[in-house]
Amino acid sequence: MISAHDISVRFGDVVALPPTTLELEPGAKLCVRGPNGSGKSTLLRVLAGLQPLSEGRVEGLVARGHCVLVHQRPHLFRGTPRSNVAYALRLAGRPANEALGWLERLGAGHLADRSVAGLSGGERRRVAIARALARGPEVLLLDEPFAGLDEPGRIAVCAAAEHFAGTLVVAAPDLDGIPVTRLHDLGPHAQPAG
Amino acid sequence: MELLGEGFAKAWQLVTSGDPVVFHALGVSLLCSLCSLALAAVLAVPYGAWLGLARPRGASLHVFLLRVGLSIPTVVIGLVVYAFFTRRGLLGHLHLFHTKAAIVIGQTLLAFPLLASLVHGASASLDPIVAESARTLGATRLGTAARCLSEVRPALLTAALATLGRCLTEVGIAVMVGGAILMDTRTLTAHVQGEVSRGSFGSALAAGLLLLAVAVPLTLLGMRFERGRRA
Repeated sequence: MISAHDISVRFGDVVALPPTTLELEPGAKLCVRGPNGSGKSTLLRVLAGLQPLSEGRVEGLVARGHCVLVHQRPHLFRGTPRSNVAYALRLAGRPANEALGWLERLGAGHLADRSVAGLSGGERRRVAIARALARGPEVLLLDEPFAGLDEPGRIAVCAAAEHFAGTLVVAAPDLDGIPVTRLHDLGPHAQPAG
Repeated sequence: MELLGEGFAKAWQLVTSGDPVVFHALGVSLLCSLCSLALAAVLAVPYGAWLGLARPRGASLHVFLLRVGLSIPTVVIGLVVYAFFTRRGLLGHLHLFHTKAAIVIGQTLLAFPLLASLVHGASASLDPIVAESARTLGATRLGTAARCLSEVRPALLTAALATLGRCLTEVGIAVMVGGAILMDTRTLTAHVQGEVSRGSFGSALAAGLLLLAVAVPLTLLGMRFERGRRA
């Protein structure tokens, strides 16, 4: 169980994440909803252990590798989609030859051996989600996973999210078909704290 | 023009006939410069990467000192190494004065700030999301740094080539601590300097041509890596 109590993040005078309380039981599927600048990405970074808190505390944070964040603009390492997924598999101590299977689950098998430099935004996102899933995380954090995706991409990501057995947190401006069971709304707030 | 024409003819003859003195100097230059690059890389790559990726407190002071190091003339580095390794120097008992080892030590001091600066520049320009992507997948600190450096591979190779070029073309250290001993510690640049002062323009030009023959492929390789960096 991950419990966040009155957590907030500030960058100088700007509130990046307003005071938030959140509980995540194992296997929960949560959508963090809110407009641009409401703190969705910051909350995901906090849960991923990548963002220090200004206030509050989080209990039960899962170690990196077991809690994987897919950024809003995911970065793929130099090489191919296959080598990216193989990297995650190596970190998980699993054989690299499973890479193609993970890419196929996201409908990106045909991209396996292309250079990542030539991939579109939607293709990169699918590969990044395949890489995150291949790591075998307990907690998967997806930051705006549908941005730039076409319909087959959305269907593939939805199916992968539905089949994911661990805890899933999706940050998105609206629900828009995301397979979640709970909602957490964040409002606009990016005004000076004073 | 006559001097240049005669010089080129003599140089061509020396190069095509495989003149042992000139080619030995080429071998010494390559050996010393490659050893210096390797030694400098062992220290400069982790140091530059640490400065660029971890951005520790006081990083700007480190960067300032590295930039100062870049502007130190090679003869000054040669003087410092001379002071240590000459017979009466602090490390004179090691008997390294007028040896290739002394040249390597001096050139390593020359190479370090350049290589560390270039590695710092490459790693500092990397989007923080690269390190975060590796960390969130469970990479260790060392693994994350290795992954980040792997992302800037072309820039690192360009940095290595620039540093190698700097070592190959310096003359102050090679003459001051190497002694430019014929068929022993004489590098190509020291050969050029020595032969010009003896009035043997052709031999100097032959060494210059060989330096060019090394520099041009290095430049082409550098440009190729630069293209890879932009891709």
